Amino acid sequence: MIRYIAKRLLIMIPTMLAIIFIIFFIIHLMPNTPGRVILGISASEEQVIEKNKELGYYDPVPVQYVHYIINALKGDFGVSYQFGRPVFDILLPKFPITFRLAFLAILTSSILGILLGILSAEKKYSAADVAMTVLALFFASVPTFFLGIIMMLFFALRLGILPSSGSGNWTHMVMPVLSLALPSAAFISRITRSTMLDTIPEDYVMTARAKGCSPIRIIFAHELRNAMMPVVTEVGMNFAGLLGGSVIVENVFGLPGFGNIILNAINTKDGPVLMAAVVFLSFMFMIVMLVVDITYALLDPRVTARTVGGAK
Amino acid sequence: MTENGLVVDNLSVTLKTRDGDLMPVSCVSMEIPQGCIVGLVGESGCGKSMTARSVMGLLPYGGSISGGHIFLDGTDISAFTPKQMRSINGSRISMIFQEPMTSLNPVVRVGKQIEEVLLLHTDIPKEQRKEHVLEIMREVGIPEAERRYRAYPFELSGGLRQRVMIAMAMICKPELLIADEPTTALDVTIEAQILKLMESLRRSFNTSVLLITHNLGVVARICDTVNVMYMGQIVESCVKTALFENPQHPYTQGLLASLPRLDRSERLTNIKGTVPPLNAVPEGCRFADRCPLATGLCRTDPPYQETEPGHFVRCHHCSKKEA
Ligand SMILES: Nc1ncnc2c1ncn2[C@@H]1O[C@H](COP(=O)(O)OP(=O)(O)O)[C@@H](O)[C@H]1O
Ligand SMILES: [Mg+2]
Repeated sequence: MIRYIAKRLLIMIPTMLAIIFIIFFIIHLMPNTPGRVILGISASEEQVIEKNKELGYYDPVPVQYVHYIINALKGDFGVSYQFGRPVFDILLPKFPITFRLAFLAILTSSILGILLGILSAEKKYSAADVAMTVLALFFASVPTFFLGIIMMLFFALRLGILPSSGSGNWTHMVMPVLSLALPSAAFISRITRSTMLDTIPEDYVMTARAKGCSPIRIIFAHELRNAMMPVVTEVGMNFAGLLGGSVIVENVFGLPGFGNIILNAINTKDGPVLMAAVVFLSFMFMIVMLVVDITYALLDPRVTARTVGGAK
Repeated sequence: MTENGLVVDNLSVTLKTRDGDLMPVSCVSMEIPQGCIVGLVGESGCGKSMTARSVMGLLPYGGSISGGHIFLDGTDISAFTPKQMRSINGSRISMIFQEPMTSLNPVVRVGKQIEEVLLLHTDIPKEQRKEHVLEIMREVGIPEAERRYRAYPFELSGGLRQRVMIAMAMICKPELLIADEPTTALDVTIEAQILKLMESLRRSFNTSVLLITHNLGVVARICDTVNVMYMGQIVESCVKTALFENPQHPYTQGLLASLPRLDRSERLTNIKGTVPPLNAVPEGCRFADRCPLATGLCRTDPPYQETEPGHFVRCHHCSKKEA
């Protein structure tokens, strides 16, 4: 198990380097030069060129890339063009908001999605199953911002029971979390339903019945554990997506998180901030995928046996 | 009807399907006295598993007992609620299956899977359960029980997995073990070991066994009495020796003739034709279309009668021979 995790961590290094290279290259293609962004439209062409030289903008991209990596390893992700402060100091305080949002959303959607998925599978083709299919289709296809705005109209304006925007206490999180969680719960419940249905004709389920297991016990102790693998993948993908993709929801509800910063960096052509934010999100994505794979190994002993050769 | 053991009395099973109702088991009666091994043989598809599953209360979706009774030690369990069935499944009646490869939960340690039966049916405290599990594992001949307790099914061979299934089935010392083709998926040396194990468990636990097989060789090895099934009906029932020395139903004779034997050199024969589908059950004797003795009389239902003491046959011709 330890060897398995170590191996996976090692693989992350080249992947990360490749990701950084691609992002680096793309950001380099942005039309404005850094000097122009920092000094503004009033600066003369000479001043801009001078500034660009200072920033190493005219060095070959690979050289800049290597510099970036070396500095990044030291914890230096450059200085924001817009704020003139280290990127790291700008991003760090935003992280808790985004993380809390994504975490609460994935927790809600996993519980909701898995339970509803099980219910759908157990009562397949019943009215409840059909209703859940329709609802899932709705929530999977409605855009998040729309869901957010509708909820805002209803809970904040109409009923006045939840604050419409800002951050502070937990009530500010309810609507953002729900507007992220419902679509993802829709996907999770669909996957759970289909994998649960796959387990029903399995021989070991018959064995469990022959032992005298109750239906509830069969679901949770036998079927669910076998059905969890694709569900875990779905949950992981959704979580990784939420970490970076809550841009819209953060904007709708005025939460000063990562999404806001990224949007802002794009608008102001703030290369270093954008760069670091994307690198950070890719890193988080890889960590989440690693956790997913570790969960696989914990759920199914055959995974470690296959990848490491011998589970012991 | 008060004797110990299992009595199946005129049992019918109906299966609702999209193409109408089928009756995979019709009017089956048999007795499994305490401590006996009773064989149930027949070609695949003849309703052996359905019979077993109805005794366990584990019929597939759409299936139900549509007639008859099942008595366990005199109690009619065919009328039990699902909850009542669950309380005897695994403790008083247990079942093992054909495919040891897929019958165990692939993601749970085998020791835990055996232990679950104790959790469900006994109030042995948690700390003591493992000891019981190891004991039964040794009893069914699993070497290095301590290590195997922690193994996952994929780490064990087919024979060992079937022993795990048997351990699971026997841990509560049930009155009846239903073994549905327990050795069909195993090779012959392992088959011999498993049969020997069942034989010895029957003796040490005084458990009755309903042994389902399509293999008459298995019957010859360990059964006391045999029921031959054809298209959902019992066509012949007798003690083992009578079946091999004096088979009376043409179907049984056909099955025996298709069995290779060292002491006879005549050519092997097959029963001609194939089993008709369940939605096209022939009028009268169900075997008539494939039977060498068939006459016009066979278009009417043959009686099920005792041709010799303890030897029952469902055939017009056999009854005539006796008269
Ligand atoms: N779920 C099902 N739906 C419809 N027919 C079934 C189902 N299961 C079994 N059958 C039919 O019931 C009959 C008896 O099957 P089974 O008891 O499994 O036979 P055996 O165990 O003797 O091979 C067969 O003809 C089979 O096709
Ligand atoms: Mg069968």
